[in-house]
Parts: sequence; structure tokens; C-alpha cells
Amino acid sequence: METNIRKDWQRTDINIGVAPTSIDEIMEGKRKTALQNLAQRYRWFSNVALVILVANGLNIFNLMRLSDNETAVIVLGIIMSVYFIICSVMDRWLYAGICSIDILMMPVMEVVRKAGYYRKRHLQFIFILMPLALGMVGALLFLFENIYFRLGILLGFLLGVALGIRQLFNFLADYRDLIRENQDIKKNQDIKM
Amino acid sequence: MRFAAAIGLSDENKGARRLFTDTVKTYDSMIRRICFGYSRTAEDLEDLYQDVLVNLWQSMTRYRGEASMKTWVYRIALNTCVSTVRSHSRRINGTPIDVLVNVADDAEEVRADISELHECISTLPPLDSAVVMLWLDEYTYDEIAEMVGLSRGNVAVRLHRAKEKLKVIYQHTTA
Repeated sequence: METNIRKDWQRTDINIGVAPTSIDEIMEGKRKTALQNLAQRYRWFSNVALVILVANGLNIFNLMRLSDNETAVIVLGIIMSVYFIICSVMDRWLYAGICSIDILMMPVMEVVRKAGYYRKRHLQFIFILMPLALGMVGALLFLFENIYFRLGILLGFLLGVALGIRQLFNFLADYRDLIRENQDIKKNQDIKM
Repeated sequence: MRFAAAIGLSDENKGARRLFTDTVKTYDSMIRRICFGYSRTAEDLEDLYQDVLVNLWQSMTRYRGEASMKTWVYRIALNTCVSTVRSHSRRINGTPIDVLVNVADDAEEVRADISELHECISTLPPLDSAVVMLWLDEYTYDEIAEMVGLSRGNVAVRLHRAKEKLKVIYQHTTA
């Protein structure tokens, strides 16, 4: 049976149509791998969080004019600043982690472990940051009585929910898959031969 | 001096290009099979394959000849596949992968076996898939252990489990 399986496997030919232009693009450095794109996205989000952090600092004075409770606005402004600092640091850390995966030198086990570890941390960060973001939206609605301001926040929130609900389900499915993979790695570490 | 450096760089680049195209030509079928083992849809497979080629190209200058070229390419292909994150929705809504399988004599029986074999490999955890594929490509237990980063005994345990699974599948398809 083993010989048959091996024979079948080795004579399997997979038909993939990769155009010569793609090969040229690869050699000209125009193409990046999914992992490299992911790392770039983390770096981009890290920088965006820093820009929002600065914009938030500048905007706090405008917000103070719209609310009667200046102290609460300042506290909320500080919380938002901390939130964006966390986002930026977290994305920078994930970027550095992804970049540390060496496809060429690391054994497969190490790559699986590292990729799983950073994916897990990414999903866990989202679990923590999502309720915090919802809390901040709630605080903004509570602090500002201006109807247009509230409508703007609500509209933005609903738009976010409409766009994000499918992503959320995908995210939960990915997390479930990841937990299964991690259980396998743990099982592997338990096998003592 | 500047001119010479430019010539040198160009030659090196040409050499790397030639080595890359030769390597892809030689190991193309093997790379495709590895990507096949880690894909559930045709789209996934094409993306993975291109990612492997990108990593191979970017690593070309780092090949020192310490391992055989085949093992070196195998490691890059496996590591690329296990490190690539594929979203759940993509795995559900893609084109079925079976349409891309070519069998030399196009025997339906063999095609069905390969389909089952793929089903078995792709449902295994990434590490087990790597072990099974290395075994299918006739690497020894020691070579598998070295490349995957497990002990020899651990490889044997994993392979034993996978073979039991394969045995059931093969008995089922040949019955």
C-alpha cells in the first residue's frame, strides 16, 4: 500500500497557469509574499495609529468646546491617546515578529510555532481592543449632547458594524481553526520519545 | 571601477536569474505538489505557488550548497506554505482544487486516490502535512526530523498515525 501511495503522489501533476510575466515580475522584485504583505500592513497600521494619536491630541480642544464637561473630555482624550499608543505599539511588535520568521533557516516546526503565535496574539489583541473601542464610542455619545455630533457618531458606528460583521464571523472562524492548530503543537510537545 | 562594479553586479544578477529559472524548471512539479497539499481551493494554490517562487527568488543568493538543492527548495516551499495565513472565507468559497490535478494516464481510479490523499493531507495539522509529504517524497526519518525540527521518534509517531488514516482511505477507495 505504501508504495502505491508514494507512486500516486509522485506522479501527481498539478496544473497551475503561471504566466512568464509573473516570473519576470518576481525577478524584478515587483511581487511580495502574503507574509511580506501582512508585515507591511502591520507597519502601515502602526504608523496610521501614530497619526491618529497626533490628530486626537490636536482635536481635543475642539471637543472641549462641544461639551459642558471639560474634565471628562480630557480624560476621554487621554484614554483615546493610550488606546492609539497601544494599537501602534502592538502593530509594530507584530510587524517585528512577522519579520523575524526566517523561511530559509528555520525548521518547519519553528515556523509553524511562530506563525501561530503571532496570529494568536493578533486575534487576542482584537478581542481586547474591540470592546475598548465600543466603550469609547459610548462615552462620546454620553458626553456630547449636540444632536449632529451624536448622529455622526452613530452613523459611523452603524457603518462600521455593517462592514465589520462579516469580518467578525471570519475572524471567529479563523480563531477556532488556530486554536485547533495550537492544540496540535501542544500535543506534539507532550509526546516524549 | 564603477563600471566594473556595475558589470559584476549585472553578471551576478544574470547568474541568479539563470539559477532561479533552472531551479524552478527542475523542481516545479515538487513545488506544485507541496502547495497542493496545503491548499483547499485553486486560488489558494496559485497564490501559494507564487509565494514560494518569490521566496525562492529572494533566497537565491543565500544558497551555500550545505544541503542538497532539492532539500533547500523543499524547506523553502514547506515554510512558505505553513507560514501563510489563509482566511476561513477564502477556504470555503473558492474553486475546487480537483480540477487542477493531472494524472499521467488519466485513470479515474488514480484520480480518485489522489483526491482522497489530498483530502487526507490537507485536513492534517500543518506540521503533520509536512511530515507526510516528506515521507511521500521518500525522505528518510532522519532527514524529515532534521528538516521539520522534531525528534526521530516523534516523526515516527506522527507518520504512524497518518499512515493509519491513509490505510483506511485506500482500503475504502479500492473496495
